[in-house]
Amino acid sequence: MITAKDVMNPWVVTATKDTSISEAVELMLEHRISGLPVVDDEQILIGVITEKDILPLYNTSRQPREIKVQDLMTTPVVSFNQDETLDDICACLVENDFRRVPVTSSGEIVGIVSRPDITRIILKKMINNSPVEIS
Amino acid sequence: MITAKDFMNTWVITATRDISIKKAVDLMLEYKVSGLPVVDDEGRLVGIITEKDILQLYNTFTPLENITVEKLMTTPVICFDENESLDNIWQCLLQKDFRRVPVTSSGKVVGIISRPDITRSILEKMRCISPVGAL
Repeated sequence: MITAKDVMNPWVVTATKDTSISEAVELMLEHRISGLPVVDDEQILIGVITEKDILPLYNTSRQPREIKVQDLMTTPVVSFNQDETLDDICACLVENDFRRVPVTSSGEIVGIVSRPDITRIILKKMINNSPVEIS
Repeated sequence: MITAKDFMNTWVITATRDISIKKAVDLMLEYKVSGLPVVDDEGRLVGIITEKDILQLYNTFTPLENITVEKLMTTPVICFDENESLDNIWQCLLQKDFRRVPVTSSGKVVGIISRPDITRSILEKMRCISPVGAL
């Protein structure tokens, strides 16, 4: 059985609640990702900030430097423990409009699983023409 | 008024109905895009295929290389004419769970506008109206 920790990407770009929105957008664009998990000083997952949360600013008159990640982030956030199955994560990404889910261990962020990660696995499965096996 | 054609990305990665899902996933991963407009031989928009459509294949054991884009694509697809206002497109991306909308002229795909395109413009606007060094 494939678990989150077998497939997650451990290189997670995160934000803190005090990160400015402009820095969060820069991180998303630089790394070509659609969202950032938000963590506290001890790497405990406290929220998520996504492209969709940023879009309303297109029409805002607020001074951008006043806006922090904590003003726009979604909390609580749907996340998976590192021992949960990939099947469950995949079902979550299909049923919801999430593109990524953070993976945690004792509340601390340890990885992320995104739609492209799963499409890559499906591609591998297609090439092997066999059920998913991660080596 | 800013229109789609002032803002769109004219470099669009497209698929045709008859290419395999394998090829479509290869294109998405190679170009780091989450979806591909599907066009006919004359470049007319006939559908869209996204990561989310691919995720449905996670649990299938069919030889997937034989599945064509046509079988999984969403059709009809929401798109905007190149003369449509950017405000309307922004509203659409804000309200729906689309990450991108194709832009057409006489039914032919001429560009694409995605959420990152809008967040980039928000960032540029922030930089313009903030005192130097404030962000």
